[in-house]
Amino acid sequence: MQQKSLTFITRQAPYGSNKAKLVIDAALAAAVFEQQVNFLFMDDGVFQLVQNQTAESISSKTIGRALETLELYGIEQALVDSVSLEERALSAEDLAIPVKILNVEQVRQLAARSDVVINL
Amino acid sequence: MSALHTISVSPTNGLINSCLRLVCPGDGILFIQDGVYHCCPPCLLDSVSQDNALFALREDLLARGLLCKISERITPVGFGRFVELTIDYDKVISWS
Amino acid sequence: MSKFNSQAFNDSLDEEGYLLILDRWDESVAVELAFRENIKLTEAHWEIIRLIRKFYQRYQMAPASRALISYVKKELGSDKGRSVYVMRLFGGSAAKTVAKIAGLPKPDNCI
Repeated sequence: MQQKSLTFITRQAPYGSNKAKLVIDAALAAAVFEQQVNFLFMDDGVFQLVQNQTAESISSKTIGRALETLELYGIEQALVDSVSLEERALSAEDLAIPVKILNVEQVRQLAARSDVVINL
Repeated sequence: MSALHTISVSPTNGLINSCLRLVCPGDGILFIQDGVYHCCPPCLLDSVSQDNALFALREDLLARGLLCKISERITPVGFGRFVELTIDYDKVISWS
Repeated sequence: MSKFNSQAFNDSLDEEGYLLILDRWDESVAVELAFRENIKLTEAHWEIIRLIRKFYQRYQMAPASRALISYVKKELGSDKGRSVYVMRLFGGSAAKTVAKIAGLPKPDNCI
């Protein structure tokens, strides 16, 4: 199978809808098919990364658990849009999993060089 | 690789700001559904570079009474041209 | 063996043979589910079964093959963290088979 580079942009907060989980599942499915997968948190999507979440209190699954599996599926590095962090007064120390923070130009280049961008 | 960005929600969402951070020279932006409200005053699109073509779906403009109110920079397109645009650009990035 | 011949036990499985109520799992259930897959469980099998249950507890999902192998490699080392090792124990669709025997839901994203 021809390898394509896919960038998944996750832009929704974790529990208000099932979209956050949907993007993770789609990215894992792409990784299973040995595609080159980038995973970028943007806008409210960065709220998925906040530490000390316990979604059992609202009968949901804590999103961080699913995010930790990205690495096991070969998605080595989670990426975060720096502007989205700043807009929400978050910094690297507030985040639950190790991520690489991208500046505006790096985010733009990532989207530009990807074969496919899935934006949810 | 060039991209066609499609925006389908109204300006209240502020989505255009996130979209513009990803827009590269040569990319196009197409407004559809409630996204066409971006095309009338107060125009949020003045800051968009002249390198970027701006389109809006004619049917959605007509439906909302906006066709004669839109900024000169916007090119109204029908469904046929919409399909051609998705082919002319290397990929589509949808904002919804 | 009689409790596994009962209609009640068969009703506790879905049409593909996965446990519908995960709390019903115990080691005797694993032995029976493995028997239905023509697998006789050895200590090597149990090691993987315990590991996939640990994965499920931690990540709240059943792993597809790629993640299962990465996790085995991380926890048990690279000798065992290879598809060929796990497939020798559980057959070609190893991730699905281990999940079934370990009383987990069918993995999403499995090819």
